[in-house]
Amino acid sequence: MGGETHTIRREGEVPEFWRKDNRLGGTNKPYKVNVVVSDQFSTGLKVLVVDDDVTRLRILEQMLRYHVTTCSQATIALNILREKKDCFDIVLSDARVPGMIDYKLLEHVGLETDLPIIMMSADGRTGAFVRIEALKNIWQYVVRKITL
Amino acid sequence: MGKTVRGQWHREILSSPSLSLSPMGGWQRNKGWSHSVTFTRMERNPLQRQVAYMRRSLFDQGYLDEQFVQLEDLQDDANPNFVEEIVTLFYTDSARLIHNIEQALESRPLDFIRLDDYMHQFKGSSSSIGAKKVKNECTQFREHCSARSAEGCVRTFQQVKQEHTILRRKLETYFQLARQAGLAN
Repeated sequence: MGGETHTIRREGEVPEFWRKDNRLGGTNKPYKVNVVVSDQFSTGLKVLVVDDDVTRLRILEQMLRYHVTTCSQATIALNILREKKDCFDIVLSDARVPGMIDYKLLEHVGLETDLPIIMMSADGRTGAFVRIEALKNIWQYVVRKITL
Repeated sequence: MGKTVRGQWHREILSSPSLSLSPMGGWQRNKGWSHSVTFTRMERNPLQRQVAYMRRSLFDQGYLDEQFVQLEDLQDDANPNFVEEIVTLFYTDSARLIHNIEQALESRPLDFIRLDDYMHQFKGSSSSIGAKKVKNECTQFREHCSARSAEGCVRTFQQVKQEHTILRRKLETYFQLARQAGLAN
Protein backbone atom coordinates (compact mmCIF):
# COMPACT_ATOMS: atom_id res chain seq x y z
CA MET A 1 0.00 0.00 0.00
CA GLY A 2 1.24 3.45 -0.70
CA GLY A 3 0.60 6.80 0.81
CA GLU A 4 2.79 6.76 3.84
CA THR A 5 2.89 10.20 5.30
CA HIS A 6 6.22 10.73 6.89
CA THR A 7 7.64 14.14 7.23
CA ILE A 8 9.86 14.38 10.24
CA ARG A 9 10.09 17.91 11.43
CA ARG A 10 12.26 18.88 14.31
CA GLU A 11 12.43 22.39 15.58
CA GLY A 12 15.15 24.35 13.82
CA GLU A 13 16.28 21.46 11.66
CA VAL A 14 15.78 20.61 8.05
CA PRO A 15 12.72 18.39 7.67
CA GLU A 16 13.34 14.86 6.52
CA PHE A 17 11.27 13.22 3.88
CA TRP A 18 10.79 9.52 4.13
CA ARG A 19 9.06 7.39 1.58
CA LYS A 20 8.21 3.74 1.38
CA ASP A 21 9.59 1.88 -1.55
CA ASN A 22 6.36 0.28 -2.68
CA ARG A 23 7.13 0.12 -6.32
CA LEU A 24 6.59 -3.14 -8.05
CA GLY A 25 9.47 -5.34 -7.02
CA GLY A 26 10.55 -2.81 -4.43
CA THR A 27 11.70 -3.57 -0.96
CA ASN A 28 8.71 -1.92 0.75
CA LYS A 29 11.14 -0.48 3.24
CA PRO A 30 11.14 3.19 4.13
CA TYR A 31 13.96 5.19 2.65
CA LYS A 32 14.99 8.75 3.00
CA VAL A 33 14.42 10.94 0.00
CA ASN A 34 17.38 13.14 -0.67
CA VAL A 35 15.83 16.55 -1.07
CA VAL A 36 18.38 19.20 -1.82
CA VAL A 37 17.49 22.04 0.50
CA SER A 38 19.38 24.81 2.18
CA ASP A 39 19.98 24.98 5.90
CA GLN A 40 16.90 26.82 6.93
CA PHE A 41 14.64 25.32 4.29
CA SER A 42 13.97 28.85 3.29
CA THR A 43 16.03 29.56 0.22
CA GLY A 44 17.25 27.62 -2.73
CA LEU A 45 14.39 25.20 -2.87
CA LYS A 46 13.06 24.84 -6.36
CA VAL A 47 9.34 24.33 -6.31
CA LEU A 48 6.96 23.51 -9.08
CA VAL A 49 3.52 24.70 -8.08
CA VAL A 50 0.57 23.33 -9.99
CA ASP A 51 -2.83 24.92 -9.50
CA ASP A 52 -5.58 25.83 -11.94
CA ASP A 53 -6.62 28.90 -9.97
CA VAL A 54 -4.46 31.81 -11.09
CA THR A 55 -5.22 33.88 -8.00
CA ARG A 56 -4.16 31.11 -5.67
CA LEU A 57 -1.12 30.40 -7.83
CA ARG A 58 0.08 33.99 -7.50
CA ILE A 59 -0.50 33.94 -3.75
CA LEU A 60 1.46 30.70 -3.41
CA GLU A 61 4.25 32.13 -5.49
CA GLN A 62 4.50 35.09 -3.16
CA MET A 63 4.16 32.96 -0.04
CA LEU A 64 6.73 30.36 -0.88
CA ARG A 65 9.61 32.67 -1.63
CA TYR A 66 11.68 29.86 -3.04
CA HIS A 67 12.60 29.48 -6.66
CA VAL A 68 9.04 28.98 -7.78
CA THR A 69 7.76 27.88 -11.14
CA THR A 70 4.02 28.07 -11.49
CA CYS A 71 1.81 26.05 -13.72
CA SER A 72 -1.93 25.80 -14.15
CA GLN A 73 -2.21 22.60 -16.15
CA ALA A 74 -1.20 19.14 -15.07
CA THR A 75 -0.14 18.09 -18.57
CA ILE A 76 2.14 21.12 -18.85
CA ALA A 77 3.51 20.39 -15.40
CA LEU A 78 4.37 16.87 -16.44
CA ASN A 79 6.09 18.10 -19.59
CA ILE A 80 8.11 20.57 -17.56
CA LEU A 81 9.13 17.82 -15.19
CA ARG A 82 10.08 15.48 -17.99
CA GLU A 83 12.19 18.07 -19.70
CA LYS A 84 13.74 19.60 -16.63
CA LYS A 85 13.72 16.79 -14.14
CA ASP A 86 16.71 17.99 -12.18
CA CYS A 87 15.52 21.55 -11.95
CA PHE A 88 13.04 20.91 -9.20
CA ASP A 89 13.25 19.72 -5.66
CA ILE A 90 9.60 19.45 -4.87
CA VAL A 91 6.16 19.62 -6.45
CA LEU A 92 3.24 21.32 -4.79
CA SER A 93 -0.05 20.60 -6.44
CA ASP A 94 -3.72 21.31 -6.08
CA ALA A 95 -5.58 18.03 -5.99
CA ARG A 96 -7.99 18.98 -8.69
CA VAL A 97 -5.98 20.18 -11.63
CA PRO A 98 -7.63 20.05 -15.04
CA GLY A 99 -6.05 17.93 -17.72
CA MET A 100 -5.73 14.98 -15.44
CA ILE A 101 -8.39 12.85 -13.88
CA ASP A 102 -8.26 13.19 -10.15
CA TYR A 103 -4.86 12.30 -8.81
CA LYS A 104 -3.18 10.95 -11.89
CA LEU A 105 -0.60 13.72 -11.89
CA LEU A 106 0.53 12.33 -8.61
CA GLU A 107 0.89 8.86 -10.00
CA HIS A 108 2.86 10.02 -12.99
CA VAL A 109 5.18 12.15 -10.92
CA GLY A 110 5.64 9.32 -8.47
CA LEU A 111 6.38 6.77 -11.13
CA GLU A 112 8.54 8.88 -13.38
CA THR A 113 10.52 10.95 -10.93
CA ASP A 114 11.82 10.81 -7.44
CA LEU A 115 10.37 14.16 -6.50
CA PRO A 116 8.49 14.70 -3.32
CA ILE A 117 5.00 15.89 -4.02
CA ILE A 118 2.66 17.66 -1.68
CA MET A 119 -1.02 17.73 -2.50
CA MET A 120 -3.25 20.54 -1.42
CA SER A 121 -6.94 20.12 -1.26
CA ALA A 122 -10.01 21.67 0.22
CA ASP A 123 -11.65 18.29 -0.08
CA GLY A 124 -11.64 16.96 3.45
CA ARG A 125 -14.20 14.26 2.96
CA THR A 126 -13.18 10.86 4.28
CA GLY A 127 -13.75 9.19 0.95
CA ALA A 128 -11.17 11.40 -0.66
CA PHE A 129 -8.63 10.57 2.01
CA VAL A 130 -9.02 6.88 1.47
CA ARG A 131 -8.57 7.26 -2.23
CA ILE A 132 -5.43 9.30 -1.73
CA GLU A 133 -3.97 6.80 0.66
CA ALA A 134 -4.43 4.06 -1.85
CA LEU A 135 -2.25 5.70 -4.44
CA LYS A 136 1.39 4.91 -4.73
CA ASN A 137 4.11 7.33 -3.84
CA ILE A 138 1.98 9.88 -2.17
CA TRP A 139 3.43 10.74 1.10
CA GLN A 140 1.96 13.92 2.13
CA TYR A 141 -1.64 14.93 1.83
CA VAL A 142 -2.24 18.41 3.01
CA VAL A 143 -5.78 19.38 3.61
CA ARG A 144 -5.97 23.01 2.92
CA LYS A 145 -8.64 24.99 4.58
CA ILE A 146 -11.10 26.35 2.12
CA THR A 147 -9.61 29.78 2.70
CA LEU A 148 -6.58 28.97 0.62
CA MET B 1 -6.50 51.13 24.96
CA GLY B 2 -3.80 53.36 26.28
CA LYS B 3 -2.74 56.81 25.40
CA THR B 4 -1.58 57.39 21.91
CA VAL B 5 0.91 59.91 20.76
CA ARG B 6 0.07 61.72 17.61
CA GLY B 7 1.68 60.17 14.58
CA GLN B 8 2.73 57.02 16.38
CA TRP B 9 1.35 53.56 16.53
CA HIS B 10 -0.40 52.08 19.46
CA ARG B 11 -0.96 48.38 19.45
CA GLU B 12 -4.18 47.00 20.84
CA ILE B 13 -3.07 43.44 20.77
CA LEU B 14 0.47 42.56 21.67
CA SER B 15 2.16 40.70 18.94
CA SER B 16 5.37 40.65 17.00
CA PRO B 17 6.18 44.18 15.85
CA SER B 18 6.61 43.14 12.29
CA LEU B 19 3.63 44.79 10.69
CA SER B 20 3.55 48.44 9.90
CA LEU B 21 1.43 50.72 7.85
CA SER B 22 3.05 51.39 4.54
CA PRO B 23 2.92 54.82 2.94
CA MET B 24 0.37 53.49 0.53
CA GLY B 25 -2.05 52.90 3.35
CA GLY B 26 -1.85 49.14 3.21
CA TRP B 27 0.17 46.83 5.35
CA GLN B 28 3.68 45.77 4.69
CA ARG B 29 5.68 42.99 6.12
CA ASN B 30 8.87 43.67 7.91
CA LYS B 31 11.44 41.10 8.77
CA GLY B 32 10.17 38.19 10.68
CA TRP B 33 6.85 36.54 10.94
CA SER B 34 3.86 38.64 11.67
CA HIS B 35 0.63 37.84 13.40
CA SER B 36 -2.55 39.55 12.49
CA VAL B 37 -2.75 42.46 14.81
CA THR B 38 -5.09 45.29 15.32
CA PHE B 39 -3.55 48.70 15.25
CA THR B 40 -5.08 51.95 16.20
CA ARG B 41 -3.25 54.94 15.04
CA MET B 42 -3.42 58.67 15.39
CA GLU B 43 -2.75 59.58 11.80
CA ARG B 44 -1.51 63.00 10.99
CA ASN B 45 -3.14 62.64 7.64
CA PRO B 46 -6.95 62.63 7.81
CA LEU B 47 -7.01 60.60 4.61
CA GLN B 48 -5.05 57.85 6.27
CA ARG B 49 -7.47 57.88 9.12
CA GLN B 50 -10.24 57.47 6.59
CA VAL B 51 -8.43 54.55 4.96
CA ALA B 52 -7.95 52.82 8.27
CA TYR B 53 -11.58 53.35 9.13
CA MET B 54 -12.74 52.01 5.82
CA ARG B 55 -10.52 48.99 6.17
CA ARG B 56 -11.88 48.36 9.65
CA SER B 57 -15.46 48.58 8.38
CA LEU B 58 -14.84 46.04 5.67
CA PHE B 59 -13.90 43.56 8.36
CA ASP B 60 -16.53 44.59 10.86
CA GLN B 61 -19.31 44.38 8.31
CA GLY B 62 -18.21 40.92 7.29
CA TYR B 63 -17.06 41.67 3.76
CA LEU B 64 -13.53 40.49 4.43
CA ASP B 65 -12.02 37.86 6.67
CA GLU B 66 -8.64 36.79 7.98
CA GLN B 67 -7.42 35.67 4.58
CA PHE B 68 -7.31 39.31 3.46
CA VAL B 69 -4.95 40.02 6.33
CA GLN B 70 -2.76 37.17 5.11
CA LEU B 71 -2.57 38.94 1.76
CA GLU B 72 -1.63 42.22 3.42
CA ASP B 73 0.99 40.28 5.27
CA LEU B 74 2.59 39.22 2.00
CA GLN B 75 2.89 42.78 0.77
CA ASP B 76 6.41 44.12 1.02
CA ASP B 77 8.83 46.53 -0.61
CA ALA B 78 9.36 44.25 -3.57
CA ASN B 79 5.60 43.89 -4.06
CA PRO B 80 4.10 47.09 -2.67
CA ASN B 81 0.75 46.63 -4.38
CA PHE B 82 0.40 42.93 -3.86
CA VAL B 83 -3.07 43.01 -2.33
CA GLU B 84 -4.49 45.13 -5.10
CA GLU B 85 -2.75 42.91 -7.64
CA ILE B 86 -4.35 39.81 -6.20
CA VAL B 87 -7.80 41.38 -6.00
CA THR B 88 -7.53 42.55 -9.60
CA LEU B 89 -6.39 39.10 -10.67
CA PHE B 90 -9.31 37.53 -8.86
CA TYR B 91 -11.90 39.78 -10.46
CA THR B 92 -10.48 39.24 -13.92
CA ASP B 93 -10.42 35.48 -13.49
CA SER B 94 -13.73 35.13 -11.69
CA ALA B 95 -15.55 36.73 -14.61
CA ARG B 96 -14.75 33.56 -16.50
CA LEU B 97 -16.12 31.32 -13.75
CA ILE B 98 -19.27 33.41 -13.45
CA HIS B 99 -19.80 33.12 -17.16
CA ASN B 100 -19.43 29.33 -16.97
CA ILE B 101 -22.00 29.13 -14.21
CA GLU B 102 -24.39 31.40 -16.07
CA GLN B 103 -24.18 29.21 -19.12
CA ALA B 104 -24.62 26.07 -17.09
CA LEU B 105 -27.72 27.58 -15.46
CA GLU B 106 -29.28 27.97 -18.88
CA SER B 107 -29.14 24.34 -19.85
CA ARG B 108 -32.13 22.12 -19.20
CA PRO B 109 -32.08 19.91 -17.30
CA LEU B 110 -29.59 21.47 -14.92
CA ASP B 111 -26.35 19.61 -14.47
CA PHE B 112 -26.01 20.00 -10.71
CA ILE B 113 -22.71 18.19 -10.57
CA ARG B 114 -21.14 20.55 -13.04
CA LEU B 115 -22.69 23.55 -11.31
CA ASP B 116 -21.32 22.38 -7.99
CA ASP B 117 -17.92 21.87 -9.52
CA TYR B 118 -17.83 25.38 -10.98
CA MET B 119 -19.00 26.84 -7.71
CA HIS B 120 -16.38 24.87 -5.80
CA GLN B 121 -13.75 26.54 -7.94
CA PHE B 122 -15.33 29.94 -7.57
CA LYS B 123 -15.67 29.55 -3.82
CA GLY B 124 -12.04 28.52 -3.50
CA SER B 125 -10.94 31.50 -5.50
CA SER B 126 -13.09 33.91 -3.50
CA SER B 127 -11.80 32.47 -0.28
CA SER B 128 -8.24 33.14 -1.31
CA ILE B 129 -8.85 36.89 -1.26
CA GLY B 130 -10.84 36.76 1.94
CA ALA B 131 -14.20 37.52 0.33
CA LYS B 132 -16.31 36.41 3.26
CA LYS B 133 -19.84 37.30 2.13
CA VAL B 134 -19.18 35.99 -1.36
CA LYS B 135 -17.92 32.76 0.12
CA ASN B 136 -21.03 32.37 2.27
CA GLU B 137 -23.32 32.85 -0.72
CA CYS B 138 -21.30 30.22 -2.57
CA THR B 139 -21.94 27.79 0.25
CA GLN B 140 -25.67 28.47 -0.04
CA PHE B 141 -25.51 27.81 -3.74
CA ARG B 142 -23.78 24.49 -3.24
CA GLU B 143 -26.42 23.44 -0.75
CA HIS B 144 -29.05 24.03 -3.40
CA CYS B 145 -26.98 21.95 -5.80
CA SER B 146 -26.96 19.10 -3.30
CA ALA B 147 -30.69 19.51 -2.88
CA ARG B 148 -31.03 19.61 -6.67
CA SER B 149 -33.10 22.76 -6.43
CA ALA B 150 -33.05 24.67 -9.70
CA GLU B 151 -34.96 27.58 -8.24
CA GLY B 152 -32.61 27.72 -5.28
CA CYS B 153 -29.55 27.71 -7.51
CA VAL B 154 -30.83 30.45 -9.76
CA ARG B 155 -31.82 32.60 -6.81
CA THR B 156 -28.65 32.18 -4.79
CA PHE B 157 -26.49 32.74 -7.83
CA GLN B 158 -27.99 36.21 -8.14
CA GLN B 159 -26.92 36.80 -4.55
CA VAL B 160 -23.44 35.49 -5.28
CA LYS B 161 -23.08 37.91 -8.16
CA GLN B 162 -24.45 40.75 -6.10
CA GLU B 163 -21.99 40.26 -3.26
CA HIS B 164 -19.20 39.79 -5.78
CA THR B 165 -20.00 43.17 -7.35
CA ILE B 166 -20.52 44.98 -4.05
CA LEU B 167 -17.14 43.84 -2.81
CA ARG B 168 -15.41 44.86 -5.99
CA ARG B 169 -16.75 48.39 -5.72
CA LYS B 170 -15.82 48.66 -2.06
CA LEU B 171 -12.31 47.40 -2.67
CA GLU B 172 -11.83 49.69 -5.67
CA THR B 173 -12.79 52.63 -3.48
CA TYR B 174 -10.53 51.39 -0.72
CA PHE B 175 -7.47 51.01 -2.92
CA GLN B 176 -8.08 54.38 -4.54
CA LEU B 177 -8.35 56.05 -1.16
CA ALA B 178 -5.24 54.26 0.05
CA ARG B 179 -3.31 55.52 -2.94
CA GLN B 180 -4.45 59.08 -2.35
CA ALA B 181 -3.58 58.82 1.32
CA GLY B 182 -0.15 57.51 0.45
CA LEU B 183 0.54 60.28 -2.01
CA ALA B 184 -0.62 62.89 0.42
CA ASN B 185 1.87 61.69 3.02
